[in-house]
Amino acid sequence: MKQDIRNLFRDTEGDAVDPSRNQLPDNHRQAFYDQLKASRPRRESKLNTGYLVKIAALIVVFVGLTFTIFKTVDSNASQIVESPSMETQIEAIEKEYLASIDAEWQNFLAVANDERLVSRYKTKLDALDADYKEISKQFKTDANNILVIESLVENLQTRLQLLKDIQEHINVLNQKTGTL
Amino acid sequence: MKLLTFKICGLILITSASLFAQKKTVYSESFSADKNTTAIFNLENTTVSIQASTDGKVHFDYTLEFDGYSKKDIEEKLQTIKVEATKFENHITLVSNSVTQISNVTFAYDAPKGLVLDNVDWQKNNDSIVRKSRDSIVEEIRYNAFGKINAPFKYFSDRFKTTDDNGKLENVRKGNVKILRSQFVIKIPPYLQLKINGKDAQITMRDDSMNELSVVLKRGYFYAKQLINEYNLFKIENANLRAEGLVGGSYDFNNISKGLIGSLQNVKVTSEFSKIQIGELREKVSITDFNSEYFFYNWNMNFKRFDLFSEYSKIHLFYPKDNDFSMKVMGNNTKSMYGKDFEINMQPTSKGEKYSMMERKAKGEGHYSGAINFDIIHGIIYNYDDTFKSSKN
Repeated sequence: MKQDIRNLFRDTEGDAVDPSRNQLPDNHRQAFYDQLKASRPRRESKLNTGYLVKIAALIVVFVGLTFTIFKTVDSNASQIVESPSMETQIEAIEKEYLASIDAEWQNFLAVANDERLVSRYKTKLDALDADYKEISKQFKTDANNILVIESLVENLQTRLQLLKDIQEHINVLNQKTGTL
Repeated sequence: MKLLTFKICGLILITSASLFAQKKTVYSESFSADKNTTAIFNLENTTVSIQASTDGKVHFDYTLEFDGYSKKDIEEKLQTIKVEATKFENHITLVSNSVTQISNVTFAYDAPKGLVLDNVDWQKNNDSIVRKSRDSIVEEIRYNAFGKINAPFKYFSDRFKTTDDNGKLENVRKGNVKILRSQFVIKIPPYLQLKINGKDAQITMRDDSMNELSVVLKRGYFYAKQLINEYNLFKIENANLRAEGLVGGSYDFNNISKGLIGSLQNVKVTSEFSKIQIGELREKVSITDFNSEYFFYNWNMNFKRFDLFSEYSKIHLFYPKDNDFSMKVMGNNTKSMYGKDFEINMQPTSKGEKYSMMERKAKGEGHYSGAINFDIIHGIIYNYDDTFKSSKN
């Protein structure tokens, strides 16, 4: 199979090849590039459309969530103003109880005829009032502590209950029934 | 993409888990002790659990568990707590205080919507009065002392509600409540002589104790099992008391609103403005009272002698059931009620002199358990007894 490469450019009679007959067309270069481009496999784009859609969706969700959260916080903040705070509630409870305690104290004075009893009750109620003021200081420091809130309410309840109980006691003693 | 999502989720999970509960050691220290060691605990806004030490040393271990707190909240809370124990010349001093009250479980509501006190009448109790056994009182003590801890959120949600967008009451969501669990365990050897000064303190003695105890407590509670020492000295004011048994010592109670005592033996009680239920009266008990409400449910078969000196007291008296006894009631201006239909009045006297209101001599049958002596003025005695039908016997 060995042959001289020069023979390939000779015609069958042994003459050299006519250059005009074998000349390449003028647009061969462009045609070659076109063929090359057509035959080359298509390269994938670096920016995948699917990815772009997902990222866009994430951005939309994020913006949406942020908007919703801000809106919720904003509306909740306005609800704080609308709904009574714990301080306001405690103030209302305190006012209500103190009015009842005062009324019961007057009722107690009306039925009690023992000065010593009145004096001891006054001392006890004053002591409970001093306690209340002490607990109130804690409440101002930590208004969300449920234990402190309970202590405040229980203090008021105790005072009211003591006054109610002693009046009931006196009433039972004063009831006229069979005697010994 | 999926990997990234998983990573983000994992990060959120780890961060959330660490936010939900974080345990912090506030204080931990141990001291050696011998039979001459004394100790004083000054507790303010502190909850402690005192247990028996098994190695003869005194141990202080204080931890806090934060649920729903941010790192900043935790740091701020820890800044408000001061704990220090020192030992000098065989005397141990513990000082523990907090700016605000800390219970075993402390709740703080941290949600934008307001909190509403749903049930202000927490103290209301409409139970009918029936004889309770000592065991049932002990059971009640154990349940009440620890029920709060067993179902802390239920305890909270029974008392507080929040509002929905329309202003209607709704249950508070667990996620909006910050929970602080405190565990301050103090272990003491049985021979340690201990003084406790408590203010807004919640003290639980989890084991029977033979220590000599001197306790002054203002607000809070004191829960104990058996306290056995003739030199015990207690002064409790505006607080709750629950004890399975008190043997020996002197007890001063002022405004004990929820007093539950399993049994009393060899004790002197001075009380005022209190409400105390006693499961069983054992030997040599004496009570001096002003304006309290007492429930005497049962009597030991050898209670020997019980003395009550009282003014303006309300006594719920259940008589000894199975054994013989004697009873004497002295005083004036007192009513003794036997059900709804029968009562005896002891009239007031101008000079306040006392006279015999009622006397029940021993029947001389069966085992004689002891003598009940009441010295009572301005009092009311509610008699609950199916074996006792008349005023004089």
